[in-house]
Amino acid sequence: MSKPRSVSVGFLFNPIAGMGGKVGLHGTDHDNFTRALARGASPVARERALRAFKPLVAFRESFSFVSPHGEMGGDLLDQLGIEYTQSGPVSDGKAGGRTSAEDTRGVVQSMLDLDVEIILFAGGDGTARDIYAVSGPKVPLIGIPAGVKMRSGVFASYPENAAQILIDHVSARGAAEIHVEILDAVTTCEHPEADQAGIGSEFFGLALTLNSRSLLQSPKLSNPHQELGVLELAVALSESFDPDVLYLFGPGRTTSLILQAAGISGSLIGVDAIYNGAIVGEDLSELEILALLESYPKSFLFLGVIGGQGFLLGRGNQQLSLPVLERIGEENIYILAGSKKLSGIVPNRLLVDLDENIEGSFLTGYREVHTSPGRTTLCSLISATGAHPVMI
Amino acid sequence: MIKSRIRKYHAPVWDEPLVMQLGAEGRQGVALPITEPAISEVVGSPEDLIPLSMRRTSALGLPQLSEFEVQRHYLHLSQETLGMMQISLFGTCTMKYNPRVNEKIVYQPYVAEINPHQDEKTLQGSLEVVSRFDHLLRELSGLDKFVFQAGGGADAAYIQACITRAFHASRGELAQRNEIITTSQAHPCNPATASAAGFKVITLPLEENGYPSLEALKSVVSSRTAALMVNNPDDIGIYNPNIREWVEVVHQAGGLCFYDHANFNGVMTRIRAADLGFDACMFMLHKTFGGPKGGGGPAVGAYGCTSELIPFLPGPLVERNEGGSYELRDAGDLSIGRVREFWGNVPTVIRAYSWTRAMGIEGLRDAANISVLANNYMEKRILSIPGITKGLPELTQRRLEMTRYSLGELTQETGVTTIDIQNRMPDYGIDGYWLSHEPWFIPEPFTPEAGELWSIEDLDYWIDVLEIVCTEARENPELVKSAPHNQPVHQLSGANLSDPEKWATTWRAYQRKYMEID
Repeated sequence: MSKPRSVSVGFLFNPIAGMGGKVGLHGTDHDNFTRALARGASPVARERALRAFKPLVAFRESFSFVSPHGEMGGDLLDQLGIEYTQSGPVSDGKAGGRTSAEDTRGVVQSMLDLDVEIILFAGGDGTARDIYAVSGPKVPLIGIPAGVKMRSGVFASYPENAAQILIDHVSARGAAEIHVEILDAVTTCEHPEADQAGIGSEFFGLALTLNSRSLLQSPKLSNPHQELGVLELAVALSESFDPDVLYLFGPGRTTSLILQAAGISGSLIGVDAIYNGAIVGEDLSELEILALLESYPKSFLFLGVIGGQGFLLGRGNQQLSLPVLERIGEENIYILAGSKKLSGIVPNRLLVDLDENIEGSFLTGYREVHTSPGRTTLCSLISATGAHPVMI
Repeated sequence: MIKSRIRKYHAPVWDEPLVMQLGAEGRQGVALPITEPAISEVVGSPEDLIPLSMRRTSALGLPQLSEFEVQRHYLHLSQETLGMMQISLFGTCTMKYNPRVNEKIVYQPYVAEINPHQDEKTLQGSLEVVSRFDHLLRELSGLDKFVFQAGGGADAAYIQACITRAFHASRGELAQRNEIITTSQAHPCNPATASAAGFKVITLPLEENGYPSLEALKSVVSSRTAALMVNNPDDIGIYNPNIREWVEVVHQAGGLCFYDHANFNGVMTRIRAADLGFDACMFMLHKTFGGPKGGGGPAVGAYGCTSELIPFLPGPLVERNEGGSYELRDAGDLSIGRVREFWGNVPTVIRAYSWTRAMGIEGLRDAANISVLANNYMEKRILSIPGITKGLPELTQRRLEMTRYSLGELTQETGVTTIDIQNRMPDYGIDGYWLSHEPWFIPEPFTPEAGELWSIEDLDYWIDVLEIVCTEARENPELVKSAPHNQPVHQLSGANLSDPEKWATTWRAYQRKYMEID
C-alpha cells in the first residue's frame, strides 16, 4: 500500500463566532447574533482563523483541504491561495440570510463522505457541538479558538497552536488520538430549570482529537464547591471597598463571591460594576465599561481564572479588552483563584488570548494570584504570540 | 516482573476494646511497698503534702488493670497495626529503624527519671549530650548554634517565622518587611507557620526545570521581603542547583533565608546550609537522625542559625561555662520566648546523638548515597509497571532520595485510584505509601522513599506488591476499590474526619457521642 501524499483536512469556518464576546453576550448562538449586531459587534473569527493558517501556508503540500464554498471556509482559503476540494451543501448564506447550525451539520456530513481524516474548524463550543453531532468520535477534531466560550477539549490553546498540532501530526505521522470532552454552557433556553445561564457546563460526548497536550487547552473544570481560602478572601475583600472607587467584577463564580459577601447580586456570567456599594452596571459590554471608566476616574478590577484551562483573559470575558485593562491600570487588577484550582492548571501559567498584541505589556510576565487572605501564588502570564506553553 | 515469593498475610483480628473499657475496680499493675516508718516520720503522710484545696473530691476515672492486661492490650494493638516493623516506604518521612541500643540508653534512670526543674549541677550528663549534639549539627550545617526546644519540624519552622519577625523588628523594619516567599513543593509547614506569624506568603510554582525559576524569585523579591523558606531537594526529590543565587538575591534585598532540611537524607554531608549562604536551618531528629517518629515517640525539630540570629533563639540555652561545666542560660531580651517547655525532648536528642556518633561522618555519607541509589533502583522498576508514570516525566535530571509518581493512567483505565491502591497494599503485610502534600498537581500521586535501611529484598517485595495490586486493578477493580480485606477493620469512611460531630479524641467525647452515657 502506498503512503498517502497528504493528510485530508476538512476546514469549516463559523463566520459569526466570537461576535458576542466584547459586547457582553455569552455566545453568538441562538438569538445572540441579532443582539450582538444590535450592540455594534463586529466579526472576529476571521482574524483568528487567519492567524492559525499563517504557519500552515508553508506546509500546504502536506495537506489536502476540503471546505465548503463561500463564507464557511472557501472564501478564507481563496484569500490565502490554498487549493481545496469543495464540500457541500450550504444553504445560500449570501442570499440575505446567514449560515446556520444546520449548514454546519450538512457540511460535516459531506466532509465525512469525502473521507476527511481530520476536521479543523474555527468557532466556539456551539460550533464544536454542531460538528460533533454529526462526526461523533469518527475523526479527530481540532478547534481554532474563535468563539466566546471554549470549554471543550478539542480547542488549541491559541490559533497558532492549532496549526502546530497539524504540522506536528504530518511531521510525525500518526500522532495518537485521544478522547476529550465536548462541553457547552448550560443555557436557560435549552434548560429552563437552570438557575442561571452560563454557569454549569453540559457534557455532549467524547470527541477525538490529536494527542498534543501541550498545545491543546484543557477542558474547563467546573467546581461548584469553592475552596475555603477563596471564601475567606471574598469576605475580607467585600469588607475593604474604598469609597469613590468603581469596582469591576469579571465573570465567574469566584469574583461573584465578593459581591455576594457584600450583599449584592450581580450577573455572575458578565462584567458587573459597583460604586459606593451600589450596582452601576450589570453584564457590561466593552463600550459600556469604557464609558463607566470615563465617568469614574478611580477603578479596580477583580478577575478570576478558568479552572482546568487556566485562561485569564480571552475566554468568556472578551469585553475586558486591552484598552479596558490599560485604562484600569496594572496596579488596580486583582486576580484571585483557589490554590487547588491553580494546582489543577498544568503547566502553572495563566493564558491570555486577546486580539491585540500584548507583547511587552503588563499582561505578560509574572503576576501574583491571591488564593486566601495573606496568601498568593505566583503565575506567569503567557500570551498567544509567546512561546508554546511548556509542559512541566 | 515479580521477584519475591509473596507471603500469605492476614492481620490478627482482636476486636480490641479501648483501654478505658478494660480492667475492674481494685485491680492494679504494681503493688508499691508501704513507706518505711523512718521515712514517714521525716516527710509525713502523702495526703498532708497536698493542700486541701488541690485534692480531688472524686476518684480519678482511669482504668484499673494488671500489668499483664496492659501488656496484652498494647501487644494486640501492635499486632493489628503491622507492628511498626513492616516495610514502610512512607515518603517525606524517612522511615528508619530505631536501634534498640538507643532505647536502652534513654530507659536508664539518668535519662528517664530526670526532671527539668532539677538543679543543673545534677543534670550535667544530659546537658553535655545536648551541647555535644549541638556541635555535631553545627559541623553538618556550618551554622553557629542549635536549639532543640521545637517538638517537630513545623515547630522549628515556626521558630524561624518568629525569629524573622523579631530580627526585622529589632532593626525597625518589621512594618515594611511583611512578605515571606516559599515554593509550591516546600513542606506546607513553611507557608503555614509564616502565615501564623502574621506574614503575607508568596508561593512560587514549579517551572520547566522542576523548580521555580530565578526570574520568578526576582520578580517578587523586594524591600517587603522578610524571608525565604524552602526545602531542597523539595518534596518531589528535585534539587534546585541555583539555590546559592537564590539566597544571594534574597540577602541583597535584606531578607533572611531558612533551609527546611526535612529532605536531608539524600544530601547528608554533601551540602551545608551555611555554605550555601542560609541564615538558618532545621533538622528532624525523629526522621533523619534515627529517632522514633509517628506512633513511636516524641519528635524534635533541631533549629540552627548563624551567630547574628542567636540573640533571638528561644531559651533557655544550654551553654558550657568557662569552668567546663554546663548550664541553662536565660535567653536575652531579644529572644522570641519559648515555643515549647524546657529545653526539648531530651531522650530523642540523646537517641539522635547516639545514632550520629555510631554512624560517623562516613556512615552518614554512605547512608545518603544508599538512599539516592535505592530510590533510583526503585524508580527503574516502578516505571516498568504499566499505568504508572513519573511525576513531571519531561525532566531528565535524576531525582534524589524520593520520586513522585502518578497512577493517573491506571485510574483512567480502571477507575482505581491511588487511595484504593494505598488501601490494598497493607493486605500484603506492608505499610501503605505516602501520597502527596496538598494541593495535588500530579494526578493520583504516590511518593515512596527508600532511605538507607531497607534491603534490596525489602524494596523488591514492596514493588512486587505494588505491581500485583496494579494487576488486580485491571482484572478485579472492585477487589482493590473495596480494600482492605486482610486487616482488622475494613475500609473506613473518610467523611467522619471532617465532621466535628463524629470526632472523639477523648474518652469523654467517645462516651458522649457513641455510648450515650451521662
